[in-house]
Amino acid sequence: MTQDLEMKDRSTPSNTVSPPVPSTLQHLKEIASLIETGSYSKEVRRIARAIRLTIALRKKLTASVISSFLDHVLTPGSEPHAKLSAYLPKVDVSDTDNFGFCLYSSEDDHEMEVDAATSVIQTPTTKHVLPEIEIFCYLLVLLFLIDQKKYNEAKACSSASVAWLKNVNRRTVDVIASRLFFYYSYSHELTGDLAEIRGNLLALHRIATLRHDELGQETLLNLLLRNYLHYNLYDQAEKLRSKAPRFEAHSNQQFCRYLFYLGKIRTIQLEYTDAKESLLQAARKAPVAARGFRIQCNKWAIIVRLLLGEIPERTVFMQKGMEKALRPYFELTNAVRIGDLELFRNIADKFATTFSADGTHNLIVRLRHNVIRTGLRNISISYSRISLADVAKKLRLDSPNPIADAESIVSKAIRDGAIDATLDHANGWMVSKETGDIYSTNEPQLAFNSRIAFCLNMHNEAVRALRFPPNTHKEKESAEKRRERQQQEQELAKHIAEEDDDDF
Amino acid sequence: MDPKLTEVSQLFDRFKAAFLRNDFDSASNLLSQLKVLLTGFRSLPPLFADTPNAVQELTIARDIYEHAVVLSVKIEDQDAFERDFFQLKPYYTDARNRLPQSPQEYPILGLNLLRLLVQNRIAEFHTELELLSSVALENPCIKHAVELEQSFMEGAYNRVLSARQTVPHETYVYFMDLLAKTIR
Repeated sequence: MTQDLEMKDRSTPSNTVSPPVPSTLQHLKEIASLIETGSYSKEVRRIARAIRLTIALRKKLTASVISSFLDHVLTPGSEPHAKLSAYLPKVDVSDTDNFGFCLYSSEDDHEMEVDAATSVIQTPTTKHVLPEIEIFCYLLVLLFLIDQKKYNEAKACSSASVAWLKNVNRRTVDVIASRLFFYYSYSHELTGDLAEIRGNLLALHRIATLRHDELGQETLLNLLLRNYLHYNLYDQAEKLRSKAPRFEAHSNQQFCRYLFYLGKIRTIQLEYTDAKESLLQAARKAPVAARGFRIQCNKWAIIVRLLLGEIPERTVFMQKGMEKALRPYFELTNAVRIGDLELFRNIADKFATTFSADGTHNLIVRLRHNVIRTGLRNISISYSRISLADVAKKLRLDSPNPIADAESIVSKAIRDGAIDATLDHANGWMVSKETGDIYSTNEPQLAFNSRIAFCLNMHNEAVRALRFPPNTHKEKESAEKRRERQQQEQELAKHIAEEDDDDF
Repeated sequence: MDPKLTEVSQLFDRFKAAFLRNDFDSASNLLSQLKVLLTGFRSLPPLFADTPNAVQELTIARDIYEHAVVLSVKIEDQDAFERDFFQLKPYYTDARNRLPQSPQEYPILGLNLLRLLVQNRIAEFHTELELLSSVALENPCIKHAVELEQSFMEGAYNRVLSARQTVPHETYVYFMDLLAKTIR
């Protein structure tokens, strides 16, 4: 409790009294002490907050800031310190960032005094560094290396940290560890050898499961799925997914990713209805800032809906910031809607590179069949009787024997119930039956039912998704505490938006 | 040369001879002996130990399984085909950077696609398809299977029936006959 108060004392003046932004180093120190208090009081929430604050600082990290931070928290000359500083480039004094850093240094000194005065815990820890802090340092260095595009160093650093992590079994480490896993996989992906770490990730997942580290499990499962899907190993991905334990989602981002991967797997395995559900949910749950991720989700969702025989609304393609990326898919949808095979082929050729880059090429090949269906449906609506030769011509089937082709295609469509018609083999005609009034059937009822079910479901999900901090029912919060909490919440809301941006 | 390897290659030669004579009974006997011998090699999947003869061992094992797959088609045993194919698959996927590509790879992959189509396992068909590179998709053997699936979905059965005349490999005929039977 006293630590709490100290922390507040220190953070309020720096927020209100000194309007210029405190230096990055100062921020880092605050975060470090936050992690320490968190680990002593065993509150995971504090550490999660520390991570969020770090991500906000990410753009300001420089080599000099990190190395002085390392000097501060780790004993210079100790083993982890030496290992981590080896990854950092030599400090360049003429750096412009350093200049900025110097500007604040006077203020920084002042803050340092306050720091030393208030948080007594920091001085003794120089002898025995908390595992949390050490991992945090790893994370910091890793973030810096990735931002500086030093992927090989990042790879080495992350591998070292993950090897070290395997021996640490503390619940408070989980949050930082899961971020570290993410960057571990990310750095390997950037250098293009994702397959190497698959065994390692599986081992980590097993360890996380044994330690009941649910966040770690979630993250690692997603990383593994990503790993498999990167190499199109849908079979293995599905097997892993169906065997891995599932529980309530801890992190919204991880859940979104999971839904996206699930949608992809289901699409490949032709379970379009389920695939559509998870893809749309992923797109909806994803934060606004994660544009790239939402574009990917939308691309897949559009194709799945087309494969289901639905035509996505125009608004889907006109979402802010996505018009350009979704353009090929928009034209594709148009071709399917009109049912014009020729146009469809042209578009598939025109955007072939885009489609194969998105990994959707094979799905588009599957769409051909839907184009024919729609075309046929249009024909059957407009004509009460049409010769098969004309059908073939309208569908633009280019084959040596179009009439025989048309005949078998029409007969299969009739059998599948796509069109309501009969074939007159003797004369080579397709005779469409009159369609009755749709409002005299059960159709509207069914449509309403599905909509109502959707709304009710959404309501239930929303209620279930409400989250409460673990201790609220135990103690009545004082006015002071409430003030602190509100401040935290505001900060949290701000940082969530930034972090999400960063995450995807 | 390693005595074990010599033994296997001698046995394999006898197996190939029996195979060419269309003496399927003795061929399957020899094959099961070969498979038992293969378990003695540590360089094969799933261990992938780095033994000095690893490349030779992998190559001969792959050859044996390729023949096993073709043999199972000839004796018209679909279950054996599936078994042998799954034993063969790691050689194509996981050992890709250890071995030069086998000339038999695409015909056999195409054969497997066709089998999935015949058994109406369309989901697995598409999963397998995703694994193939764009180069593989251009191969006539695989293209054949892919086009068949398309005509199948569209309902252009007459095209499927006529495709029997244009098979790229003589082993495909068996599956094509099965497919034709399903269509009728």
